[in-house]
Amino acid sequence: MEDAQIVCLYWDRDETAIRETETKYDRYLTKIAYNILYDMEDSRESVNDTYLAAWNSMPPHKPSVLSAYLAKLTRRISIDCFRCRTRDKRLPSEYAVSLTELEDCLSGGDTTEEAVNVKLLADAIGIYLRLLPENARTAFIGRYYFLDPLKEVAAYCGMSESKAKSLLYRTRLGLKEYLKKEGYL
Amino acid sequence: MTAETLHDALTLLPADLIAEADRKRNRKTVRVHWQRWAAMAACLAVILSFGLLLRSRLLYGGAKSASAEMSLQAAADNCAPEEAATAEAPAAGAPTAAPPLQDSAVATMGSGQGIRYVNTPDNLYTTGCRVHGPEVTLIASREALDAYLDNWDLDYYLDELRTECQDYDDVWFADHDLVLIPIYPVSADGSVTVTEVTETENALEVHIAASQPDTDAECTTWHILLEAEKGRIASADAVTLIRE
Repeated sequence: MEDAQIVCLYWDRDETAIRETETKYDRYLTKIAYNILYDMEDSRESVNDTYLAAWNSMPPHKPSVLSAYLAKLTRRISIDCFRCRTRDKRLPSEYAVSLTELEDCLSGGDTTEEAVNVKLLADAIGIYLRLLPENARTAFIGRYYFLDPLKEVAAYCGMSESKAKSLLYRTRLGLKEYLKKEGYL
Repeated sequence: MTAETLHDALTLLPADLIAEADRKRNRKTVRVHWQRWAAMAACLAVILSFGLLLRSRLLYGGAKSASAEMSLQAAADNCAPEEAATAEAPAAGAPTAAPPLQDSAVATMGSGQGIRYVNTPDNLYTTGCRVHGPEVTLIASREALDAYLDNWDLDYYLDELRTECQDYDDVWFADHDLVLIPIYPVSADGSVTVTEVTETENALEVHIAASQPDTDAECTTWHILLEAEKGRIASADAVTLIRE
């Protein structure tokens, strides 16, 4: 079923919308959740919560790209779940690894003055990503949004792992410079 | 700001950026499938090539072809030392590596049919030789070939000869006979070459040239392997060895 039809089912409050969503996107969403949580049971739970969140948010939302919308919900729910775990219970997921990598984008100094408007920060990152070549943009989003392992990123970007690693490193440094210039760091 | 704040911001990235990256991510599936099919095709090609190679080896000598060619293969096996311990430690100065393969040669028979023979000299050392059978033996089955090899195995290193003989199985013997002609002793510094094979009525003459330089090298024994169509050589007596 087409995404637009599924969204219409949500708007019609037709419960088959969830079944259709599950049929089409269950694996896709489970992978995103698993990359963050590294635990299949928690991932299943996050994906189920995603279906509920989708049901509750449509309407009023009417996403133009359903997959991206559902991915965003799964990502947020899974990250919340990850943060709810105690430090000892945090598993070495791709999300956990990415936290270390993304520290390259930070100033490394004071992290207490956190009055950052996340929405504005997201807009700034979006503008920066649009300035990048397509391959670098795909690699960055694949690695830090979908939290794909480096090996997979390298594969679908058509480059070696070492080249992908180097590309991501340069992109992170570029983002740091950009955020500095924009006054976020 | 922390890395987690960055992640929160990434969650809010515009949908079009996410969708664009997602499209490219999904392309990998297609690529993996292509690679999988390519790998399977490559495997199939290797298997087919191997099968064709095996088939051509089974039909080696053209016994099944209308031209009724006869293939002769001259191979050498090593003459074993009388004491195994000596055999494992080559004498100083004795050659230990086989000389390169000689080119195949084609001789023309009186009837005009071609004969192909290949010399595959393997010239290792030995300390002594004993005769283990008649000058010419006609082998008609794998079982008989194994018995022949086992007999020679009592005193000789037969690694090379066994390697040469490994493809002669019952399928091959269904259409072929094998003639084994031991040539001994020859100096390890020397060589044996089949110079000509001539076929007359009910008889086959195999001409060989054996060079034996006067050196102190140990002697070795060779085997000429002669492949023939089933029944073409009536008996071992029909084969005459002529030293030149």
